[in-house]
Amino acid sequence: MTLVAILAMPLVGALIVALLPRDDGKQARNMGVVWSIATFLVSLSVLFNFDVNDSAMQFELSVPWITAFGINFHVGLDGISLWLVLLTTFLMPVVILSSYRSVSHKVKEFIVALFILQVGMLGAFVALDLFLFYVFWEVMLVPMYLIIGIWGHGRKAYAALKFVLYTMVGSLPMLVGIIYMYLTHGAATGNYTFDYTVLTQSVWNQSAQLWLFAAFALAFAIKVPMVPLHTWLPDAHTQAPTPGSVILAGVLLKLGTYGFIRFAIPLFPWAAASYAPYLSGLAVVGIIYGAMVAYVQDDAKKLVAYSSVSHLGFVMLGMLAMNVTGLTGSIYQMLNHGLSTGGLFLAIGALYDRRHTHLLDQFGGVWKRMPVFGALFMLCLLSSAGLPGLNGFVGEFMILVGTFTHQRDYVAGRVPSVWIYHSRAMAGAAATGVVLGAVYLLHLFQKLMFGPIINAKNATLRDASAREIWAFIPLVVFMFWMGLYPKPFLERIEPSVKTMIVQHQQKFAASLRHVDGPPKRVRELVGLSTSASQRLAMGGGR
Amino acid sequence: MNAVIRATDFVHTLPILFVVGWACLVLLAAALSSDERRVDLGPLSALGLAIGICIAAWSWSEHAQPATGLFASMVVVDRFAIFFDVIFMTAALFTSLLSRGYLREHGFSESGFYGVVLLACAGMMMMVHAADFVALVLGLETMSLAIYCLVASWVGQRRSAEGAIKYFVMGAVASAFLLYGIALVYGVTGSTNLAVITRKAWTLSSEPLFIIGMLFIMAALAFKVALVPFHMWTPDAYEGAPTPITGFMAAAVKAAGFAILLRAIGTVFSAESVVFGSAGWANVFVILSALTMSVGNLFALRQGNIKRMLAYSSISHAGYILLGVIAMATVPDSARANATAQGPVLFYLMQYAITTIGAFGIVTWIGRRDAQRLMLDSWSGLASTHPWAALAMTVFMLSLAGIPPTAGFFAKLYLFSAALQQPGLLWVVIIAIFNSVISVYYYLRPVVMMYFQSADSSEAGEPSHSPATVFVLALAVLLILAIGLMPSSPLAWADASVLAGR
Amino acid sequence: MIPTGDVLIVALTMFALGLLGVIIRRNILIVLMSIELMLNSVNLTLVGFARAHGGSVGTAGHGFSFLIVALAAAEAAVGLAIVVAVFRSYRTVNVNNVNLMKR
Repeated sequence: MTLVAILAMPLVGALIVALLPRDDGKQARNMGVVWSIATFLVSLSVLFNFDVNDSAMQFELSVPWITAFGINFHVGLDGISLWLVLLTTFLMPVVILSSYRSVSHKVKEFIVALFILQVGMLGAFVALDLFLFYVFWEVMLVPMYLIIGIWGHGRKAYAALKFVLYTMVGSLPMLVGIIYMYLTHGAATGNYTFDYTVLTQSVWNQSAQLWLFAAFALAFAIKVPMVPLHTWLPDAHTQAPTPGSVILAGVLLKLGTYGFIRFAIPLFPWAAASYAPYLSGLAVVGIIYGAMVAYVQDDAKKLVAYSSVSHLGFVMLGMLAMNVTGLTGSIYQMLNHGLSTGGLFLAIGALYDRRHTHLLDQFGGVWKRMPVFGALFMLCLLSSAGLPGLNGFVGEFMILVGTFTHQRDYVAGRVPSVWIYHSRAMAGAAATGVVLGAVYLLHLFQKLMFGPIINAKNATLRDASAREIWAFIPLVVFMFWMGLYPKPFLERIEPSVKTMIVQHQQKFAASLRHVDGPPKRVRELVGLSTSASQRLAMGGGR
Repeated sequence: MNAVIRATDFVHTLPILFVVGWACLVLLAAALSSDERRVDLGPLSALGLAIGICIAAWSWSEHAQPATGLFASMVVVDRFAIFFDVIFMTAALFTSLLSRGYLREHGFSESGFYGVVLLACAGMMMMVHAADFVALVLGLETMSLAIYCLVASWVGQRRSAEGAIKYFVMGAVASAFLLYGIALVYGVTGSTNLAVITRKAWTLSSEPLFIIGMLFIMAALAFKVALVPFHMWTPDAYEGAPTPITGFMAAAVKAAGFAILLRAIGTVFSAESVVFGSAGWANVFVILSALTMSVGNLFALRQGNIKRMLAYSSISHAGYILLGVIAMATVPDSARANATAQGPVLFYLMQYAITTIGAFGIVTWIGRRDAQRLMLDSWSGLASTHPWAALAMTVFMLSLAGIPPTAGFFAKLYLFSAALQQPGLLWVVIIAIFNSVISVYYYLRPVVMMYFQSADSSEAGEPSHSPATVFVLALAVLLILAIGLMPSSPLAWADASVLAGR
Repeated sequence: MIPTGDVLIVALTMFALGLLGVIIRRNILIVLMSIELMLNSVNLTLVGFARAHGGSVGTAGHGFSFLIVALAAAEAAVGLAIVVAVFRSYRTVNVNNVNLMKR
């Protein structure tokens, strides 16, 4: 019920804001801030009631929804989704605070769209029914489309449409994949269901896995976005209003990586392992390409957008290692990216509100006029660059270690031995991406903040207002906390990750014996005892 | 064959008889109405249709077992037909309510309009209840002639007359094909009764005249539901017709055509050799389905006129629905497969009827005599001048595009999952998926116009605030969202309404 | 007695001529006449088959052809009315000139 309450909160918020008297933007904004903080507080209850030692789904609720189709309203939360849910509720007040200046017309509608978007994101993170997940996944589409299209600037209609079309191109094959799973699983077991917890107990034959994984991966890879499917992102980010960019970078992109971790990899382990070398190659290409393209941008917002491509490459790389360190680091990095890139977009948005431009050469020497803002900006930037002591470092380090120590136990004997070295090469290449990240971020900061004030318009800039500072403070607090004392976060993520990897390896072993025919239960294919597989998992990890 | 007409036959067919009677009543009232004593015909016909829907609902619950052999085996009353009756009457009800403000705004003569709408509705009902080709032709022609008149009813408008003559010529040729096909089938089988032909069809698959006759009948039906390449009339007829009638055509005429197609394919021409033989219709229809959805979508992309855009969109939806029809007939012979593939088609037609009438309803609502707002460009800034109309239109567009949580999404899901049960149809499903993506582009164009463009003040007129119009549109939006979120009961109705096994 | 096959061939020829007329003639009135020709070819087919079948089966065919006669009359009535409407707005009965809307 807790999760239903969390899902209902933004929905109720949207209704309340929608029913407010018209044309009063201030009222709508204040209501939005209050309600989103309230939502966050409600969502904290899952944190306090979360059982650290339980690796299974918690707060589970399953209510029959469309019985004729075996569709349940099935939601649940484990260590993997816990922090992502909290990140979503946590960022929402920040986002609304940042909208005070950047959104000036149709404020009420804007807040309503944000709340509906929040419902979609939260729902997608907690959904344990593939149909439900798909519905929430698509529900996010419309508000984000409107946010970019109505409140964006420049070629907003183009960017909004590009966003929708890319997402649809990805999600419809996924829908076909989901239906295919539903039909084949139903035909094989007699149990026609979309329930994730049921479907995940079966494995599909190897060639079916290859197709199904491809269908799912396309949807998620577009959302992440992985090179070469990333071209919608710079457009969407540049044209979106600041709050839209923050929510897009902070949470929406995580749905792609979350989809890989929760659905694509566990459901089709054999295909995931087969594609992993190529996908991790693409991830590394994304890391380096994103960093290099970011460096040559003359538009600050585009720079940060490309930095997202680079950072999410790390997240992909970590999870594809499929060991405890890599996967945990990957999840941790998702949170970090949400905070730091959210912060960067806030900073650039604050500059845009003052100067109405994102172009780097329009700025310079801003630090002299805006010292407080400069310090906050610097912190977000360093967090994003992975400076030790701040959150980004922990995640990147874990990902690199995880990738490097990847033993490929369970792939050995099937994959050419050259791939054993592949992961080490990947880790090495990714490490250069860390360096490149520092380069373009410092380049950004230098262009904007340091040097003499060339442009006279910059001489009169106001420093950050109290409201802006309050939008930054929570982010900065968590950047330090997650960088200096990550234990409370990691100890909640790890149990679920360990269980997931054990199950993953079991399913992989099962897949090896399942070349053809309808989907089969994992238990029928392998008699592997839990303890044996646990040892395997430990060996593969740290 | 039973040549006797019993008194109970009239009870079984009460919905049809009631609508025919009410149509006569409305026409009579129109004739008697004078300037001094005006009869408000719109509400009168709406009232009749509302009662008709109640009667049909009662009839549906009574006919768990189909009643056959009525009126000398001319008419059958089963849940399948009554399900469609409800769709037709709902469409006619919505159309009558939408038309009232429209007719006044555009200075139409009301006198014949509503009665003819009711007659068209009665014709459709006759069609789906037909157990004999004679009754089917009677219903089809009643419907067609009524619709020709309605398309042409915009006196003095060139487009109306042009659309009507194009529709009429093509429609009359299609009727001739249908009749010729029926004549050939009659020649081979010696009967026009569907049940008798069904029995004989199993042995006739190699008879060339029978195959030719069947193909002629199929081609005529393909014309009625506007499959490519029999779709040429659609955009012109849809553009020329008065807007509420366009909605009625897209919703009800299409549903009627598919109902007949389902009945013909599901029973008469369902013999395995007739379906899959070298001259079998399945091969042709699979290609037609892929063509229809693709051509419809590609042409819709480049339309500047909203009515033409929706016309092409309706063509592409016909392609999707046809996919379900093929799935029904070609899934290996099992009761479950047959039922699971028919239900989606029924469900799809139901939600499509509501959505498309809603979309045309918005066009009806915001247009005025001096500014009809038929071009997409004139929709700019609608969200600030008519926020509710813009919101409703967005819901309709999302439903047509198949984005959750609307009914259109669930219908598409249901339809595609039925088609996926037949491995041979996978490639068509993939084409359909691509088409869905393409269609998102043009369905979002009105949304872009309404929300993303600033208002064009010269066009910012108040819509005619007819409470009936608002009621219909609000109801349509609610129905679409309700079906999208809680599809269980409509799904159950659709599944309970499928034709009995072949 | 004339063989049924010959009747059918004549009917088919009439149908083809009617269809041809619809396709190539530009005068709407001639197009309407061509449609009538097609409907009458259907009647001829029906009657031909009805004679071949004989008995009660034959009666059904004859009955159907009467329905089609009535139907053709109704179609002609509606069609001519629409032609009048077209003539009023366009001042022509040539279909080439009735092309306001995009084709």
